[in-house]
Amino acid sequence: MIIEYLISALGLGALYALLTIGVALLFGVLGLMNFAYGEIILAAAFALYFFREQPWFFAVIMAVVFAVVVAVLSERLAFHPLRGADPVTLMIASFAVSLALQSVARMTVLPRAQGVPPESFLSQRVDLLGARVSVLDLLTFVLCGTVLAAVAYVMGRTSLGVQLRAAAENFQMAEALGVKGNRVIASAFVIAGVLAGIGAVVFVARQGAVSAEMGLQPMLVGVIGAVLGGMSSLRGAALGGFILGVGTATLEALLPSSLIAFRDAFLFTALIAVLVVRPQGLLSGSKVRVS
Amino acid sequence: MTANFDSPSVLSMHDAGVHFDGVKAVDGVSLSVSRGEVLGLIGPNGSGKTTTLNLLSGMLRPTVGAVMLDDSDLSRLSMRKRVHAGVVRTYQSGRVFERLTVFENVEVAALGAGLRRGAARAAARSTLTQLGLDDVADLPADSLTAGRIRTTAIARALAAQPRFLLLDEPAAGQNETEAVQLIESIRGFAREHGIGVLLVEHDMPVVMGTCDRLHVLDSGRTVIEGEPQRVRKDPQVIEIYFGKRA
Repeated sequence: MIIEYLISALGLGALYALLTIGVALLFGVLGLMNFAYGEIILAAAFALYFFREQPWFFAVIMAVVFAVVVAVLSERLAFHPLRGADPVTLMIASFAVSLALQSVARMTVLPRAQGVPPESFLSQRVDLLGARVSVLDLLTFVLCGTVLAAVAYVMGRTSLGVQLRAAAENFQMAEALGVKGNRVIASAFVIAGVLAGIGAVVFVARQGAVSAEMGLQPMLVGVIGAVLGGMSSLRGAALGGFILGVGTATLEALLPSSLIAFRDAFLFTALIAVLVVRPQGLLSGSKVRVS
Repeated sequence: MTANFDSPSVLSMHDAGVHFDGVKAVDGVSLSVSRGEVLGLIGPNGSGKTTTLNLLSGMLRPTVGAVMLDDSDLSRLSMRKRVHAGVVRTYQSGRVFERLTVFENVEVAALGAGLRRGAARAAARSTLTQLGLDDVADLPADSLTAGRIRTTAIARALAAQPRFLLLDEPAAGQNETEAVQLIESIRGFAREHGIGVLLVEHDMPVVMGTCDRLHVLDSGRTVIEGEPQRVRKDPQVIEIYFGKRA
C-alpha cells in the first residue's frame, strides 16, 4: 500500500514537474505565458492516436517529434514576429495559437474523443518490494523521473543550460553579453516540446483516449504549478509542479470515496492558502513579477 | 591569451551627440581609446559620462556623428554585435545574474563572446583567479557583498574577451584604497591582454594615478583632454570641480 502510493505519488509529482518546467521556461525566457502549451501536448497525443497501430516505442518517439515541431512552428509563426512585445500581447497571441490548433484538431481528426487503447503491458501489475504496483504508475515514475534528471543535467551542466538560465533571469542582459537570443528561445521551445511530448505519452496512457480539449488540464497543471513554485525560478517551478502532483495523489489515496470528486477543490483551497502567505510563490525571491 | 594589438586598434567617437526631446545629453564629443591604454572619462553628475558610454556600447544610437572601430562604422550595430566585435561594457549598478553562481555569470559572458564550452570555462576560471574571486566562484551571485558583485560584473566583462572595455564607475561604493587597487588590477589586465579601457569615474583622486589620459565632460561637451597632470591644473577643470572662486 505504501509502496504503491509512493510510486504513484512520485510519478504524478514528476509528471506535473515536467509540465510546469515547460511553462516556466518559456515564461522566464520570453515573458510568455503560453496558453498554447496544452495544444503542444495535443499534437503529441494526436501522434499517439495516428500511430496507434505501430509499435508503442515508435509512437512515443513520434509524439515527441510532433510536439517539438508544433512548439517550434508556433514560435516561428506566432511568437517570433512579436519579439519584444508586451507580455499581455504575447499571452493573447498564445490564446490565438491555442484556439487555432484546437479548432484544426476538432475540424479534422478529433470532432469527438478517439480511443487509444493502452498497451496491454501498461495495465498489468508487477511485484515490487512485496507490493503489486501498476506498470503504468511505474512507467510514469521512471519516464518522468528520467526526463527530469535529463532536464536538470542540461540546465545545470551544459553551456546551453547556463545561457538558458541567464536568459530566463534577464533576457536583455544576456543578449547584451552576446548570448544569441534567437537560439536560446528556439532551444527553450524545443525543450518545452520534448517535455510536453513525454507528458502527453503519460496522459494518453492514463486516459486511453485523445480529444481536442485534452490539452487544457495539463496546461492548467503547468501554470498552477509554476505559480505555486514561483514563476521566475525554474527550480521553484519544478518544485511547485512536484508538490501539486504529490498533493493530488495523496488526496486520492486519503480521501474517502464519497469525497474524491472534490479532490481538486481541496487541492486548490490549499493552493490559495499557500499563495495568501507567499504570493510570489515558494521559491521566488521577494520580487513579484506581474504578467 | 596573449597580448595582441593587431586590428581593430582604436575605438573612437566622432562629433557624436544624442538629443532627448531637444535636450542635448551629449553634444559633439570626439574621443578615442587605443588598445592597451586606460582613458578616464570624468565630469560632474549629469555631464554625459554614462550617455557617452551608452553611445559607445550601443545602448544608444547617436543622433549625430559616428562611433567607429578603426575604419568600420559601429553606429547602427546592436550591443550584441558590438560585443562580438570586442566592445564590452559594465553597468553602474554592477548588474549580474543573481540566481547564477559567480562562475556561471562569468561563463555566460565567455560563451556569449563565442568561446566554446571548454575555452569558456577556462577563461572564466582564470579571470576569477585574477580578480581574486576564486573563493566565491560557486556561490550564487546575490549572496555576495556589493563590492564583490561589482567585481563579478567586471570579471564577466573581461571574460567576454574584449578588445575594448567600457567601465561605468567600477569602483563606486568602495573606499579610495580599494578603488585604486581594483582599477590597478584592471589596468594590469588591460596591458597584458591589449585591451583599451574607457573608465567612467567621478572621483578625481582615483583616476589621477591610474589613467593614462583623462577626458573631461561638462554639460555634454568636452572640456579638455590630456595627461592627468595637465588636466588637473586646467583652470576650467578646477572651476567645475571646486566651483567658481568669486
